[in-house]
Amino acid sequence: MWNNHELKKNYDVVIIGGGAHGLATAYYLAKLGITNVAVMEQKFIGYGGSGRNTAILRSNYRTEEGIKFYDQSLSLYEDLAGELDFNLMFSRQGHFTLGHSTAAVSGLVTRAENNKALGVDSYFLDPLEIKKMLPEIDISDHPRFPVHGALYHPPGGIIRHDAVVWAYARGAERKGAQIHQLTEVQDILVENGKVSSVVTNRGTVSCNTVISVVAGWSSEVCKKVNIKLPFVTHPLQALVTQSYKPWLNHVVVSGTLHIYLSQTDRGELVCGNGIDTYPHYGMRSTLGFLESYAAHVLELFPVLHNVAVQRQWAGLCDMTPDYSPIISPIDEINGFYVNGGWGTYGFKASPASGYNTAQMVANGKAPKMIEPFRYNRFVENRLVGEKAAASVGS
Amino acid sequence: MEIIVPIKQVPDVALNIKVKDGAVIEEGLSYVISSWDETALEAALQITEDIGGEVTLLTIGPEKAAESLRKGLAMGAHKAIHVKYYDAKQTDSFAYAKILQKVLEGREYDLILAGRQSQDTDAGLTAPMLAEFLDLPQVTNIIRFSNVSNQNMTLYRKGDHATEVLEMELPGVVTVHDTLNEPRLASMRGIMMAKKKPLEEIELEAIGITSEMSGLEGSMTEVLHYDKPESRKEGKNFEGDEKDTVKQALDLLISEAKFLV
Amino acid sequence: MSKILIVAEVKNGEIKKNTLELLSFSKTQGIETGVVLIGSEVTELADILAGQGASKVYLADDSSLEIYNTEQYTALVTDALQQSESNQVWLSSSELGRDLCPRLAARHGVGALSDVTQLEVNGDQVTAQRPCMSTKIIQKCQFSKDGLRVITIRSGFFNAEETTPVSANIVSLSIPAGHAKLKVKEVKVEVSDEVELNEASIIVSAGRGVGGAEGCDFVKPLANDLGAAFGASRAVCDAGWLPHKHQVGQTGTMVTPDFYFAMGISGAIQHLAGMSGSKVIVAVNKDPDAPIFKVADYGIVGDLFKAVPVFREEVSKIKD
Ligand SMILES: Cc1cc2nc3c(=O)[nH]c(=O)nc-3n(C[C@H](O)[C@H](O)[C@H](O)COP(=O)(O)OP(=O)(O)OC[C@H]3O[C@@H](n4cnc5c(N)ncnc54)[C@H](O)[C@@H]3O)c2cc1C
Repeated sequence: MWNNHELKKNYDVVIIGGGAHGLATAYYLAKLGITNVAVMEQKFIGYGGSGRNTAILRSNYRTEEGIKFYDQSLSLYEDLAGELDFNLMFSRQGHFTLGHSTAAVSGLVTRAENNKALGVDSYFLDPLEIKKMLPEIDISDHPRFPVHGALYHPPGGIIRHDAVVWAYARGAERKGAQIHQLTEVQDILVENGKVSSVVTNRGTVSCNTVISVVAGWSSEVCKKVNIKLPFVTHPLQALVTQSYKPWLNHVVVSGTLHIYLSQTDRGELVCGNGIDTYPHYGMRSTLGFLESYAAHVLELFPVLHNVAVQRQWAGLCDMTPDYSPIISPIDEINGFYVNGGWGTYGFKASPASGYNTAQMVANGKAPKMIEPFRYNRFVENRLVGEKAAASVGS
Repeated sequence: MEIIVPIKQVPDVALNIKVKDGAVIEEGLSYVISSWDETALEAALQITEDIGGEVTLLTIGPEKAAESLRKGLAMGAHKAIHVKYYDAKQTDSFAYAKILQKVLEGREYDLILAGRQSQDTDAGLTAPMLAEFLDLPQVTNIIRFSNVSNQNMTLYRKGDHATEVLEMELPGVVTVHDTLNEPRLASMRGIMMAKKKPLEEIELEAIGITSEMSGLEGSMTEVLHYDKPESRKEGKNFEGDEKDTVKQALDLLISEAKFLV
Repeated sequence: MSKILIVAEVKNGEIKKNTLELLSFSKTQGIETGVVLIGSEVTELADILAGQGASKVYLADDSSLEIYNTEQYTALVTDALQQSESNQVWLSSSELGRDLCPRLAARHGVGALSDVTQLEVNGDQVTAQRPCMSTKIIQKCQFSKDGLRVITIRSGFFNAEETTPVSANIVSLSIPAGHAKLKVKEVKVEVSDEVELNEASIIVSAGRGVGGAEGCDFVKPLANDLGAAFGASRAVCDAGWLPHKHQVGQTGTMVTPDFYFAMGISGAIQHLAGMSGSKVIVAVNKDPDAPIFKVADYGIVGDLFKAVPVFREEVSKIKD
């Protein structure tokens, strides 16, 4: 049970968004001694992507900036259960990215080399080696897109996503931050180029600092301060099957087939694919997604034909042009920070995102780790191109 | 056994439903197969698995109703008929039953298996009306069936005071109570195969349904407006030792609500 | 002029409360009302109907009519309609009414309004309110064409007055044949002296919180003490702790008693749809966030295993 608080008249920091990133930010701010902090969540914590994602963690990205950042996140995840005293069911079971063409294979080989150079454990496997680890996979040349090889990333895995949300929320509360559910930020007031207060459905509170940590809703919140950033929101769908015998001990992703899957401790297969191709704020699930998923997954794993689909759902993803986040102070408005652009891949970033955002707000300046994710990189043409390593959801 | 299962695509009533200015707000609704119809489909699938035959789904609805047909096909139905009906609003059970009659005239079937009511209107009128229009016997609200053959079946109907066991000669119309079974979920293969199963599309004009026979004109009743039910007035809650709270609640029950007086 | 025909329902040799409610309501409307009384050994009940205001009783008393069946009932009501020249038929929305109403309407080439909770009759103009979408929405609707009005009405929304029997004006109907293709083989009456859910003015219901069949046995004596019907949530029946006939809810029995006691029921929407029309709702549940508390007039956040004995003790004190 959460404590419900009255809104105070004033907070040093208002965090908009009660997802894993917002709550992690509150937690790490509190660790830095900044505790007069409110997290404003329009619905309930975990309502957004943080409660809807498929919880795949990995750091085998493509660029140096990306690899370092996600690797820091993974190492924070490593000790998180102990630190927050909450079982997060982190299972480092290894992560396959399959390639189905010569071009894809060469991309994977490059990623393996980049990863290794930065100390991230990743290597290339040929189909026979894959088959040894995934005995049920079809590596014959019958499918339309036969398996040519895979990038294997042993530290990758899955975690219990709700647990991460709850654990950060409890951690932040214990240290003094206040979490306000059912509190929607309706406006942000700026005076003399400086943030002065936020207007919510429960009243107005004054503050010196506002951090927008709303992922799929980023454009909407930025609108309130007349800032336009290159976020485009797309729905992403996922499904979970009925429990099946323990069968899959790794995360499997196929870029070409646009699918991925993993198996939870309960035996359910958690599955997803690429984003819906149209920008949209609706979170509805479609039959088209089910159909294409079923067709593609059966090409890889024909044994799954009898597995029944239990439930499907969708969430919103804030895509950026280079598939990397924006974590940045906004120069035009003193005290306003943006943390967004988490697309289909941001859950794994929650700890590093919260940690660095807290540092940024505490010091008024982005730490080195997240400098590359400044909002004006798009005008300065310093993109952090992660599309190749992040295009299929997860 | 040839079984027709009429299904209706309806808003998911498990979700929040809002009204404004006397109408249900469309935005945010999510559409599903009416759950009673899923029970009927499951029963039909079990029968054909048992004694052979085919299950044909039949829906009257707009373009997007095809999704429900495909879901039913993914569950295992063999084929489907989609009667394209673009403006289903203000169509009552009578008009639906008339259209269904027209669709089924001249077709071969042994059994029409339907839900006891549809989840949106909760009216429960269409299937028995259809039975009358087709001059077929009806058994509604069944909780069990047995001895199914191509000629007849035994049906257990939940009546008001007893379970009535009836023997019906086919063809006939049966509606199901939802304790009858637990509808199956579609498997991966089922979902994939559904796309390849026959889905017949019929335009209303093609079966002789004119504008006077559909929509408000073809209906005998009309909905004037929709409202939220009056919310109950705020209750009183008691927390603490049950010895005290039960007494407090009972005192008020007696003084305010005239309980046992 | 309007004329109403009410289809009477009989159980254990008595006119059911729902029929009396319909008669009392029609009396308030000042419209001439006949009743069609169908069953086996029911003739003597005609006077009770007359006492409630039935101008005529159309009677079909035959051993073949002991159990409801669609075909004979449709033919009999049709016959009574013709003889009485009624332009409205009112039925209860019982399982009988739900089966008969659409068949009857279709035979007369008209539509029907079912499961109505409020009715306005203005000559031929009939407007009604009825819950839909699992009782989340109320629709107001009307008959939009001329012709017979066929309506089923939920019980518990109108009061049944007490009256004394008077000698009835009886019209005997001839007994039609049953359906050639449908035979009633047997009727499994679950004999019991328990109060029936849809007739009860007090209901005590057990939910998943009772934990098992023993938990049901623990709650049931409270129902007995109160002379109440014993209900249950779907979870309890699905788990086999109680037979399905106890199930209250949209898929079980829809109830509208004066007092509803929900013991360990969380309040799934199908359950709420089936009981939220109760006049007074009392709920006991450990979880303060259980949805049942949203509809409860008196909510006790606590353990039913501690609360039920206190209820029993206090009730016995009151009764003494
Ligand atoms: C189906 C799916 C699968 C995914 N799979 C993975 C995966 O396997 N691995 C991975 O790393 N990532 C995955 N992601 C991406 C991941 O879920 C997100 O990037 C991540 O959860 C973003 O977290 P967040 O805290 O920034 O935002 P969110 O969790 O979306 O939280 C934002 C919150 O802000 C609130 N909000 C919005 N506007 C306002 C307002 N005006 N006032 C108050 N509150 C407001 C919202 O209600 C919401 O709760 C997936 C996403 C989806 C949809």
